Amino acid sequence: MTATLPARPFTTGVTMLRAIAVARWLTWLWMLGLVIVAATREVDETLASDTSGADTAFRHPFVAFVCVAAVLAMCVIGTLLARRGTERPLRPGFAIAEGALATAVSVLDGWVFDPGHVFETSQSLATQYPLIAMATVGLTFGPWVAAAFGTLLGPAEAWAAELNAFGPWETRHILSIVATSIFFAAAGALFGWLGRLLRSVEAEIADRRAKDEVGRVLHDTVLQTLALVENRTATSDPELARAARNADRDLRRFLFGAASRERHTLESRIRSTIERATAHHDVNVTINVLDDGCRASEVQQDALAGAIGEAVTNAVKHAQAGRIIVFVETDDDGQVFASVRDDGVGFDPTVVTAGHGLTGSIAARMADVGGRSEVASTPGTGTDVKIWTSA
Amino acid sequence: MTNAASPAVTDADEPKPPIRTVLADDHEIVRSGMRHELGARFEVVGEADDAEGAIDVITARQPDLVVSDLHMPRGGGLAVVQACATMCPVVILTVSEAERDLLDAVAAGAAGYLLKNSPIADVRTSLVAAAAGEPVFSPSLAALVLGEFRRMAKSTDTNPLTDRERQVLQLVARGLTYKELGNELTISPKTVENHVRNILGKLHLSRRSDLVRYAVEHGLD
Repeated sequence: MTATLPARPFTTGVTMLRAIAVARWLTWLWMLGLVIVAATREVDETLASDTSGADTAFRHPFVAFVCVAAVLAMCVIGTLLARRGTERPLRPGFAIAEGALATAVSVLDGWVFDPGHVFETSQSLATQYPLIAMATVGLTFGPWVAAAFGTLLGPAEAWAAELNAFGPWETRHILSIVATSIFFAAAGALFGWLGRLLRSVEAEIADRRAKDEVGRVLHDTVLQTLALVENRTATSDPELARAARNADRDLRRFLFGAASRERHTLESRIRSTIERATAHHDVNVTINVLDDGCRASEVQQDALAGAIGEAVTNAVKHAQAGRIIVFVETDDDGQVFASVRDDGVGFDPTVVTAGHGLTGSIAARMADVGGRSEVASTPGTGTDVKIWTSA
Repeated sequence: MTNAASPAVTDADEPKPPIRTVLADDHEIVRSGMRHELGARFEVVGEADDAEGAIDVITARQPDLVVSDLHMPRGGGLAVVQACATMCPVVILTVSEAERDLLDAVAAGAAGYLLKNSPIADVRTSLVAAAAGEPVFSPSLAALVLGEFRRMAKSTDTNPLTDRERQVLQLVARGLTYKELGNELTISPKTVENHVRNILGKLHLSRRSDLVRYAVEHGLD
């Protein structure tokens, strides 16, 4: 069913894109402020090693403003995309452009500023923009691509340093480059992983909702009709009644079985045992398993399931039961109690031979794992088998 | 387990007037099936295929018992229960084993909650009991309620069920009739009935924890 569903809108992804859009605007404002301050500041000749003769921190103020304009364009496009809603919020083209621009601005940092800027003074021209780009790339392409993209920012810084006429290189500068690569690669991977996680959680929620919806519809229509067919044909057409019961069971297993099966191994053991025991018999079985914290060992659980199967088999084969109620619960110590009641012919427990096979086999199974059992029956009123995994 | 047999015997001893019953179900086939299966002990005095129609019929006919589906157009079984629970016992007969549906029905004042895949003899016995004022519900639902209370007890350290009520619930879940249950615990069937009524009353309490668990199981929002 899930395989045929159309691609889902990624709503939490859109929420993240909106958050990124806001962060992008803030970054742009910061960047704009930085460029304006740098472009208008009188440089103190005694502090800066300014040899260009210009009176600001920039060698190429025009290019700096072009960078600011380019980021402004990304802000506008990013906001538009995030506002467009859930259709296709993650555009690969946009993410590539953003990653490329962030790298380019990081490189140009060394070119637009006067020499002595890279590794030494004030903010990088790109400010936090590479981080924004990592978020966009991570969300769009996943952790691996984003991490690969992030490693490019170290070399970009090195290139910027070359353009900034930096030298001589020392170990600490190399380390700084490597650290930059690692930081942005990790950031990209983190954003990518977060995006993937959100997407899978969202898909799971949508799946559950779809299944709930399908379950409700089937409840209201198919299961209803099957129950009726089963009841009305019980005496007139046992074969049809059996077919209806099997269809009912299969449908319920499909609707409600998978999840509980994974979670409760005790219940799945018991259910499959009972299914085997009743496979070719026309009998109504109600199975109630309350498994909150079963601490019986695997061996004990298997013995219990086997004993329950034995009791059910006996009910359908020898007692000619039409109805069986299996009730299983765990006590506060995690030990398990089970009861199998049927409405069959029953037997007289004082006549040993009648119930010997049943009593003996169940009692032996349980005794082997430290448990016990009781069988109560009177002719004509059915049988009640009680089983405990502990003495 | 002679659920059907014992009341039938008493019926033969002293004939009683039939239980005047209203059936509410949006499926024609279910209503005709019920009419067919209920037997001589019941007299169907009205039918409806939605909640509004059911409320009208019940108000007009003043039956002894209402058997209503849960999912129906225009309000569903809950609307019927809310409107009519004070007039006569309303028993929900549904295919839904969902915990929320059971809790909502009981909170609204339903006298019983039975599953459509129960054997018809059980349904008949339960309906006779419900008409007499006993609260009734299917064994599998008793187990569900028992599980709910146990989870509550674990999460809050306060079990709202007394030991006796827990015992009663466990025996209902095992499929004992109230009469058998009374014999087992050596208390009168009337006392059993009171315990069950108290248990059902306490169900409202669990709705909050039910919501929380639903939210946890179904993710965020």
